[in-house]
Amino acid sequence: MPVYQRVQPIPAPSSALRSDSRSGPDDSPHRLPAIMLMYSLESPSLTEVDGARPHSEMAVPIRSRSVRRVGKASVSTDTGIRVGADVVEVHQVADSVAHFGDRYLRRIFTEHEISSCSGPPMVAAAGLAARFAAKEATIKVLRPSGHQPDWRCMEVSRHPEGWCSLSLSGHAAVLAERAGITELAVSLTHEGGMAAAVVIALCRPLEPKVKASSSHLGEPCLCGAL
Amino acid sequence: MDEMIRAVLAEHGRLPVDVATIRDDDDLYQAGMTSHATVNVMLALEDELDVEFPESMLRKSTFESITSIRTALSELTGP
Repeated sequence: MPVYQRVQPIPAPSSALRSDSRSGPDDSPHRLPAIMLMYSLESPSLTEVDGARPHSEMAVPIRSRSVRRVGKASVSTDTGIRVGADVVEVHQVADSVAHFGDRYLRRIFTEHEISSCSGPPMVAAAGLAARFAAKEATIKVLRPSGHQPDWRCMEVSRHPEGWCSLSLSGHAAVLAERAGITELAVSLTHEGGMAAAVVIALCRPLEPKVKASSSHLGEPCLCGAL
Repeated sequence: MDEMIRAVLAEHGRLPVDVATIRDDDDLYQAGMTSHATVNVMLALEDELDVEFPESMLRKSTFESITSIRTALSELTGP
């Protein structure tokens, strides 16, 4: 029974925000990561991008990874967004299935993931490779300082409409909770013998760590801004 | 033990260099071992010694060198 689960995609933002020419006209929720990245790179304060208001579901503080000088205090601003990506060669997964068989499958993947990846061996291997990439991308997002979670604690679910989501359980859920992760989004792809996945996590706002260099602390309003 | 570890690395580690040229303390990830290849190495080692790596051992440091793999296997197989 997962202790932490995030399976619902955030609704696609308004059309004004889909003007990002880098991503094409696709309306699927899979576009969201690219748009969110645009925010993190171009609009740390989430005010306006190209004149458009950010979607309310996305109105979380996305902070810069820096130390800001405010008055005579240093305000450490931890990041509010994490990104992980991984790529896997499909034939390597096919080779592993051929060599280790069921033991490989059941050590790495959940029942749902195995059943989601049926068909001819290379077709199934492509889906499995993308899911393995998603698990590795998730580990990069969770940033474990000790041991990493069992791969089966990170499950990719494929929904009938075609999009995928992530569910965490066990040690993965614990790490997500410790990191303050409130949202997870995943996108999978495979082409030309390669499979890849990108995972994006939003973290809840953390209290800023203020180090005073003198008796003057930063203005109180900064806490709300971070 | 070291001979078996090297044989497993040669077959499943997908290293771009000859395993014979890798020293015991060399970093296998620096040498080119991927995360997916690590899974294969892990499963092959389990097959060889009839053991199973617990979740607590699933960390990069466990598989980062021949020495660290030997240490982990010694913990699993006992004295």
